[in-house]
Amino acid sequence: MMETAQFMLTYTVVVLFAMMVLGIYGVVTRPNMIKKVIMLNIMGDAINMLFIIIGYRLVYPVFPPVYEKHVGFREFLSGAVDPLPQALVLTAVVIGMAMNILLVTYAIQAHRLYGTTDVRDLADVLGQERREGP
Amino acid sequence: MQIGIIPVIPLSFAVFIPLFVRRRRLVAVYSAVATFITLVSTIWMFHASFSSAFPMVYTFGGWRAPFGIVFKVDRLSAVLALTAAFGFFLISIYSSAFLSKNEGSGYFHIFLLGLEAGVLGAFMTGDAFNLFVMLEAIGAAAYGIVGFYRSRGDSMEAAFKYGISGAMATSLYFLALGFVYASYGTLNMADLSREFHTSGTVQGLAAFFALTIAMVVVKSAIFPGHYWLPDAYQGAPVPAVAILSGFVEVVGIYVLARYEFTVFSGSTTLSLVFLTLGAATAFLGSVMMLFQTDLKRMVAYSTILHMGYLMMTLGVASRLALEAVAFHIVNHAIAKMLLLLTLGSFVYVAGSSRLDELAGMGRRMPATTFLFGLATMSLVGVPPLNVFFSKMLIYDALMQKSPALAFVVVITSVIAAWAYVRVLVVLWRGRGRNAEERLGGEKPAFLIINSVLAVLVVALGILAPLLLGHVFGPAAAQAMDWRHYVSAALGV
Repeated sequence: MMETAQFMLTYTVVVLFAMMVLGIYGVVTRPNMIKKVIMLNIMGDAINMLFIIIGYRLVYPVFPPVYEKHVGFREFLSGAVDPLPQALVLTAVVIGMAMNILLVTYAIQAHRLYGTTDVRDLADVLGQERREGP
Repeated sequence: MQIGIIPVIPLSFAVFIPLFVRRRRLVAVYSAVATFITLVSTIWMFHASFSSAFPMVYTFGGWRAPFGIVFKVDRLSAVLALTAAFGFFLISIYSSAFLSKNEGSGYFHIFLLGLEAGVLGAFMTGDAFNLFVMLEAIGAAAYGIVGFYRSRGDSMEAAFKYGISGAMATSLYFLALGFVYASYGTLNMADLSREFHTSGTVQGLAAFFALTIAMVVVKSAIFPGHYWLPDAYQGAPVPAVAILSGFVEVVGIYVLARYEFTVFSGSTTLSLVFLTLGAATAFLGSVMMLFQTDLKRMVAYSTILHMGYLMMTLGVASRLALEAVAFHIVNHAIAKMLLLLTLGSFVYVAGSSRLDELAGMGRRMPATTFLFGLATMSLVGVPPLNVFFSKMLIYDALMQKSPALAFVVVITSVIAAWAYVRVLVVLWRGRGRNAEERLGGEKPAFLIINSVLAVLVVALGILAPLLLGHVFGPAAAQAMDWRHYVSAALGV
């Protein structure tokens, strides 16, 4: 039972790290601005999940991090998950949403001005502008 | 008064600007008042931190150090916060005059005040996770300020590029915090320091430093992560560039210095990484300065060059190195502000920052050209001016490692001097397309602010031995004393 749980936990961590690397790869290689933002989110969510797993403990039964009288104090301490990573992830999620809005706004504005969100097309136009002036 | 309120001052002023954002004069006065109050508070904090032996601690909500979030201000933080608050005050006045032709300059001031809150918070915080929040606050305001000219495509592309790189970098720092929390079970810097010095190095720390350096490489524009910076500077308004160059890029360097010299002091085996990255950055920055046709881009590469110097100096883990880093951050910020704000005067009159459009502008605006020349001389390192002394300290610190590294500073300075001389010659002697047309001349508001900065450039240089003895020396000594740092916060 415990070995299976240990395996599943390790498997999840490995998959999440792979997801994070995939996110970085996507941000670097996808030419479309919107897809870059989506890949940034995949990376950020993988990191958030990893952070939550830090607070998780491989014991049974697991309690939510709220103390209740009928659970003994000692049992609570040995079985409760760590609430701090969850609080930190909550902060990071909110910040991530604000960043998304900002980045998508720039992508929309670029689309309004040049009719494309492909960074290769933008680079062609802007490279000329930056060298020779608008 | 409590120190915890200082970063809140600009932020609490910023949130009310949308109510009267179209009333240009009111916003200008309001923003100047906000930054002035912040400046006075940081002067008070500077005085207080130098008159008390221990770092000052502010606990949010009264929750004691390892449990709650704390602000912890030692002398190093206080010096940097004072410089930043002074810079933001001048830029606030300058940008009101500079953007008087532009639509929506009120929104610029919202970002400016938000940026000030983030920068002061990052210098003052004593909590590793709070630092992440402050980095994101700086980031959000900085991406906004770079995209200020929303009808210009290059600004939009640059702001997007800066935004997505910066967001990715801070996410990596968040993961780094995961490693350090899993290893030591705490995120308070003082508590981390105590745990580290009692239980020693663990494997998670290597991952923490790797990811933090990855963050700093992007945020501070060190060699492989510098790609966004020239475009961002070209797309941003000139006063915003002065802020980004002087105070925002150095936050990454400050973070590394804080972790290397205070929190995990005595651990570093990373000096080869810092020295390599820094030397590569310095060479790249100085050589690229020679090939720029746009002055904002040239200044961008100059910033990259100076970030390279700071990164190299971090590789020397000695007290002299920390002193050199702190003094150079201050000197670079003042001199670079003078360079950019004089450039801003040219841009305001000529309407472009391209060298061929500015050719011959020097004769039209001799006083500004003189101050521009003074700033370039200071940045190159001409003796009585301020950057010379911090470059000399950097040189001395690098000599402790190897003469070859110290020689990098000399070579890159010479290359940068060549680039500046080329620009000055074109400014003074060139025959521009619009040099003799209907354009205006000097603007008094700009000249006054630039003269203040010029006086500082000379004064910091002349007073350098005094400042090093009484301000930067004690600041570096206190920052490296982790026992004091721990006992001030935890009361043990």
